[in-house]
Amino acid sequence: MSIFDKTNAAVSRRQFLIGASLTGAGLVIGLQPSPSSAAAEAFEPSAFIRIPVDGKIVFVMPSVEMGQGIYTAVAMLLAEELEVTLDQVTLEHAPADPERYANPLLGDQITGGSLAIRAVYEQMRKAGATARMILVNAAARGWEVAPDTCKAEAGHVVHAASGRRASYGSLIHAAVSETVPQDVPLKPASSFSLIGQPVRRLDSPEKVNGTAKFGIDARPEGVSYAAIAICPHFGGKLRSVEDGPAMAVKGVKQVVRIEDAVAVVADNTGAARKGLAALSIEWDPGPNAALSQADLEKLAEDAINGSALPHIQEGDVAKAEIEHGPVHEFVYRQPILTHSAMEPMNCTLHVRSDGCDVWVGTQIMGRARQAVADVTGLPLPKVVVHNHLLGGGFGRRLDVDGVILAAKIAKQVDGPVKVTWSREEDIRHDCYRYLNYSKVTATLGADGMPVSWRHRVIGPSVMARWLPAFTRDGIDLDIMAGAETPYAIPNKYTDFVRHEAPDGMLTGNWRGVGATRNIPVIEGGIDELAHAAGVDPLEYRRRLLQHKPRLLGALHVAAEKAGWTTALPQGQGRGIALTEDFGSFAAMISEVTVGNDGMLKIDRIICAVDCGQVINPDTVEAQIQSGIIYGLSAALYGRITVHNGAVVESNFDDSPVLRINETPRIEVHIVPSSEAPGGIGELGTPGVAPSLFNAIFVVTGKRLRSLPIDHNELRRV
Amino acid sequence: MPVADAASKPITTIEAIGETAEGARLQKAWLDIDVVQCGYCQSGQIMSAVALLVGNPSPTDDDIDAVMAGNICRCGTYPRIRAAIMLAAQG
Repeated sequence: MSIFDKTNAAVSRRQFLIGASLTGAGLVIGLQPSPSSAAAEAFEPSAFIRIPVDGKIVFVMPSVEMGQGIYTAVAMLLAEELEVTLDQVTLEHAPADPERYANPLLGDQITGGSLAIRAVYEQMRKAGATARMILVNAAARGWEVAPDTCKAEAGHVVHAASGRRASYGSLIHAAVSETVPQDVPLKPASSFSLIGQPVRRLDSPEKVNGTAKFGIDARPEGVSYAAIAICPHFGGKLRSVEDGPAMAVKGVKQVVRIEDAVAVVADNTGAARKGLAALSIEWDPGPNAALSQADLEKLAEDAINGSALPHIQEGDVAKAEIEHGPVHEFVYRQPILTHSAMEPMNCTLHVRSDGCDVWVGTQIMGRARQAVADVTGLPLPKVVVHNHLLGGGFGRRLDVDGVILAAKIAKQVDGPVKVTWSREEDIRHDCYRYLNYSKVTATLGADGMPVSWRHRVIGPSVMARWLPAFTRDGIDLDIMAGAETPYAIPNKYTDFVRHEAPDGMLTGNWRGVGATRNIPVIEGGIDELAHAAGVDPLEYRRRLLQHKPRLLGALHVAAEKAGWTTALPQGQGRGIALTEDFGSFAAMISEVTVGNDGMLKIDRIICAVDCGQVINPDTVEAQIQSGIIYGLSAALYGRITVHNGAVVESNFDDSPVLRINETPRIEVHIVPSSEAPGGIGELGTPGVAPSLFNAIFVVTGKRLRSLPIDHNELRRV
Repeated sequence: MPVADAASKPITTIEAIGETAEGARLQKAWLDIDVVQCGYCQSGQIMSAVALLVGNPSPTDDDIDAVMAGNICRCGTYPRIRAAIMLAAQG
């Protein structure tokens, strides 16, 4: 059976329950009583739990599930305090409603930045505990006993002294009259029965038997299917297209034109794609028609010496550089990257004069809804977004360009229409991780340890567009994340040169966000300095991290598990990279073999993780493996190039990603911790490239500073 | 194999693969190892794994890699796919 009740039915039932809760059909429990309503309705505004008379308890998921295991983790948090077993609950996607379901740390209904657990760790447990206490109080009142003589267990309230026992469902009529208790105490970690245990994912069964429903599986009655061609040139437009050849294809119903794209609408996807392929579309390539990869790289190169905004200043770097020269200088260059989620971009809409339904899997529910309201001109409450499981997010589904495009098409179509992108459109119209350059200058003291670190970051300000609250005085706080290093260096200076992609090329968030921009530079850079100082790179880091016990602790575990002090055979090497971000700490050690011909083989990656209180250790392991493999794809292959203002690559043949036969042994070691939980979804990605840089250097003496790794640079004969 | 080659042939999909011995074993192993993440590619992964075990009931790691290299997973479930196939092969 699905962990999800039929979503639409659940939504309508929910509305019924809210209205009917005084009659006792169900009880909706939330954290903040609504000021405008009494008794049962008062629990509705931030509803994460719904308890029916019979059947399963419903947990409403404020974050979306895209593989990271958040549905299981949030259910564990709620169940831990509500005192129910996970087989007593069913899950429901939250509707688009930022007022109730915003991530408290992001202030919007966003799933990203490895922030879900950090944001809701307390909120969800409080929701569970508050609900439990109401039910206990209700039972105690009915039995005329003191609440503290009752106990909640497995979905029941029990009064041991009298042997009485009541299911939660049987208590909801009484519970609606209970006052909502404030500040219910939470369990200490020592009493956890679920949190910290390896729990199987609740979404596994349906993902294993083919019944899981992703956005692409939405099939409202009477739906048509659209295939699209977006102007391949960034900033270009549609010039002209004749309908005829597409309309001649059996099943094709309509050719839709929008400013920068053409859609062919048909009875089925095959006909739509065939119709699209039959069209001769003339594009106006626009202002970027002559733009090439060399131009983009030259612009980024020039920006290194562009006008920079200072960010972090500690000590006096300029003075240190004069006193402690020579200055070690290195420039790291990172390419344009795609997300390439497995589920093709898609969005299904039914635009009517009185409202619109949207079926999509998105990381940013509220914004998806707003975008459709903007495009259709409908009032926001008339737009209903039905969220789904996401077939991968990685930041791609943090943008709503696909929703806007689909809405523009759907506006011109009678009845519901599903807009599905081909892989080629996805790769050529991503919200790219844009070119990211870094220039570092550092000086060393007489003991070889760094005295100054100057780090200039050159790249776009995604936050200026996407989350302006995450900028300060023109500085994108994400792109600067951790640029100053975690290391004890007395003089530090970081600054930011804003360098945007050409107009019309969307840039966005990519797994690991700021850390994947800066960790390769910092961890490659600190290794360079260790080498210049003639000190073992592990020892060098240890000396610089005496003030960072958790990072040091993770490093210690990784070094021990890797056998850092044991020699490797000729042609093999180990490299370290540390990551402190997302409220977590990771130490990665990669072991590689480099042949004389430059062939690189990654033999093993060890990663020690301190992510504070672990919710589900099984998920921590899976997410670190996942982040590492995502990082490997980028480090080995990730590079988008531009020619004539259009992306050259188009599919997995020329834009490859890691396959199972290339996947090294990955060992994840969790460092026990009782600190607050940190994020894990992105923690594994940033360290991959620099740990490879550093391992390759050990073998070849060749210092790589650009990505993807070029085998030709590694030849020794 | 081009899809046209499958015309007029019996086709088994993920929805019924659990009715085969290999399919049932693999689906159980997938749950025991908790392979899935986003899950989007997993139907295809399991179908390929069934084809592998039907032709080779006791695959080595290299056998697994060779057959499964045709299925991309962006979540990086590869280590657990290997483990699950090994588990299913053991019976």
